Amino acid sequence: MPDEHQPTREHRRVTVAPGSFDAFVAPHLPVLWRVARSLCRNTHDAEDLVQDTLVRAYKGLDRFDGAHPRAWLLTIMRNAHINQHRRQRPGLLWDQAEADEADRRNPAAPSAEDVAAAQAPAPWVADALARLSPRHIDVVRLVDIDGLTYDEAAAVLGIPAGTVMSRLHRARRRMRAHLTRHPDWSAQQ
Amino acid sequence: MNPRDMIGMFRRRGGSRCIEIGRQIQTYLDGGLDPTTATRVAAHLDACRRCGLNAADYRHLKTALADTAGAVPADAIERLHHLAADLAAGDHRA
Repeated sequence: MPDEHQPTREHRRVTVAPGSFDAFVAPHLPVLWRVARSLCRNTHDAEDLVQDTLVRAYKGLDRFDGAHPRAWLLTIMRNAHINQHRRQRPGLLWDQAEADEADRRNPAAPSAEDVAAAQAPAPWVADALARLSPRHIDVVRLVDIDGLTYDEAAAVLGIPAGTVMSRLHRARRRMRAHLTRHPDWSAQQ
Repeated sequence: MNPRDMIGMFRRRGGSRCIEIGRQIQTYLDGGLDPTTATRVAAHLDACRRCGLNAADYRHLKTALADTAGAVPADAIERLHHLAADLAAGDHRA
C-alpha cells in the first residue's frame, strides 16, 4: 500500500487561501466528527475536539503542503486530542497504554445523544467487539466503522501503518473466530 | 489465465497456495493489494470454496461493522460549518 503521507515528486504544492478555508474543510467534516467520536467516546467532547481541530488547522494553513488534506486534518486532531488530555491531567505524559487502562477502569457511559447517533449494532457484533482489547477496538472503529485508510488511522493513533494493519487483521480474525461459533452468524449471512 | 497456472491453483488448493492467499484476504478486501496480486487472489477465491467462504466471512463482518456507524448529526455539522465560515471570514474569536 502506498504511503499516503509522502507527497510524490509529481505532486504540486497547493495552497489554500484563508478565505476559502470553509470550502476546503467542508467535505471532511463528517469523517472528522466520526473520528472525534471514536477518540472521545461521546458526541459532546467530539464536537469540541473538531472545533479545536478547525481552529488549529486555520492557524496552521500556511504549513499545509497541499497533499492529503484529510490525513493532515486527522494529524492535527490527534495533537489536539493529546493536548486536551494533558490539560485534563496535567503532569501526565500521553501514553496510549495508560489511556487504554483508564478507559478500561472507567469507561465513559454513552449519553442518549450518543446512542441516537450510533446505529445499534447487531448483538453478535457488539458481543464480538466487547471481547477485543482497547487497542484492537481503536483500529476496528477507525478503519471499519469510521472508514479511514490504514495510513489515516496511523496518523490518528500515532503508530506506523503496518501496526494498524497487523492489529486490525488480528482483531478481525478474533472477531471472526468468535462469530463463526455464534448461532446468529450463519443466519445473518 | 493460462492452463498451467490454473492446474497449479487447483493442485495447491488447501495447501501452500491457500495459506498464502489466507494471509492476503483481508488486505485484498481493504483494497490494499496491487492490481496483479488482487487479480490472482480474486481468481483463487472464485476457484477455492474454503478460501471463498473465508473471504465471505470477512466481507460480512466488515459490512456489519460499517453499518454501526450511523448518521452524523446534521446540527453538529451545521455548527462546524459556521465555525469554518467564521474562521474563513477572519473572525479569530470563533
